[in-house]
Order: sequence, then structure tokens, then C-alpha cells
Amino acid sequence: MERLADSIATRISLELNLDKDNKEVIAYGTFGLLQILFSIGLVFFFGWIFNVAFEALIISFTGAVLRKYSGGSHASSPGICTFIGTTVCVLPAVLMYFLIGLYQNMGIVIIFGIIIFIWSYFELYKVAPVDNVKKPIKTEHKRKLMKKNSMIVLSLYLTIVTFCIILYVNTGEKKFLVYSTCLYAGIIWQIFTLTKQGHLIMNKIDAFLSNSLFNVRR
Amino acid sequence: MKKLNKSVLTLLAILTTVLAASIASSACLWYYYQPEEPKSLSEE
Repeated sequence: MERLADSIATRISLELNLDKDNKEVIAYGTFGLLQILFSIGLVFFFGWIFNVAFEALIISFTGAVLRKYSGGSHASSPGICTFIGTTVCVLPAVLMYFLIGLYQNMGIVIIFGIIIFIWSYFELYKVAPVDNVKKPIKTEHKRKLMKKNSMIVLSLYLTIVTFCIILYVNTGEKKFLVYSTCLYAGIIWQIFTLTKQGHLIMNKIDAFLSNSLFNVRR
Repeated sequence: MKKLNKSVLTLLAILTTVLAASIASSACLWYYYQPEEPKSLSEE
């Protein structure tokens, strides 16, 4: 995908007579656009196959938006990133749909919510934002801004979950409990990737996938 | 036809530049992969 982004950027910069810096920026933006569209497309496709497309997209957007401000551990290639991203969105969506279908219990959803949000606020306060070597956060000002924005996003999620539970109380429709638990799933995985244990697990998954499914000759 | 082609490429250049700037101001791209950031976008 990086090669495709590079060739599109080369074509644009040649046609529009742009310099090297502009070409690099366009290649970076094109890669971002392709990667985002491809990731969302795959989550939608596999979600659609398992009849949980909307739920999987909720998990996907919940994790991705929070991740934009809180950072976290990374994969070594775009393929592994997409594979892990699709798996952690579709599997929990199927699981939540199944579990809420079996145990439609608002009390448990609320108790889990309280635990998840307390843990998430604590981890964000303690470690966010978690940068990486390819994109280090260099200034203290930006670090503080990212931490603040992470907290705002998490608070927004708390408001949405509260709203979903109120809607469930008023309508009795189980889909609102499913949406709440899908938000939990997105938050849990994203916050987990901020922790040392999360980095360890992600590195192990990454190493395993690099040596098996995505065995790229370097 | 060539003029239309140039307009489309200009639009694409604007869109990808705005997206690149947006990615540069956040902690990571989307999920778990982060490509090398262009020097002109990285902060001092």
C-alpha cells in the first residue's frame, strides 16, 4: 500500500510540478487515506458476514478516535495492523451480540461500565499519550494537549453509554445494551494497548504474524 | 479532458495534504501502524 501511495503521489507531483517536500506530504496523506478506507472496509465486510457490521464499526471508531489522542503500541506492517484491527473489532462485536442476547442484564452492563471507565481514566491520566519512534511527541505542550483530548473523548464515550442505557430503560430494546458493550470493547482494547502488558502482547502477536501469515522477505 | 484530469489531481493533492496535516497533529494514523512522518510535517 505504501508503494501505491508513493506512485499516486509521484503522478500528482509530476502533473502539478510540486517539490519533494510536497510529494512526501501527499504520499503520507494518500497512504493514510488508503489505510483508513481499507481498514473500515474490511471491518464492515467481515462485520456484515457475521451480521454485526454496525456493532463492529462502533468498536472500530471508538478505538480509533481515542487512539488518535492517546497513542499506543504499534504493529510492524500495515497488513498486520489491518489484521489485528479487523479481528479486535469483529470478534468482540459477535461476542457482545451473543452475550447480550443470552443475558440481557442492565445491572451487569452498568457495573462493568463503572469498572472500565474508572480504569480507563486512571490509565489515561497515568500514561497517555504513548508515542512511538516513528512519531515521537516532542513538546510538553503537545503531550498535555493530547492527554486532555483523550480525557475529553473518554468523557464523550461515557455520555454516549449513559444515553444508551437511558434509551434501554425507556424502550427495552437490547440493541442499546449491545451498543454500550461495543463501546466498552473499543475502550478496553485501546486502553490495554497503552499499558506495558498491552505492548508485550502486541509485540508477541506482531512477531507471530510476521513469521507466519505476513512472512515478508526483508 | 486534460484540464479535468488536472483539476481532479489538484483536488486529490489538497485532500491528502489536509489529511496528512490532520494525522501529523494526532498520536497515530488510525489503528496500529504508523509510517515514517515526512520531515516537513514533524514539529521542531
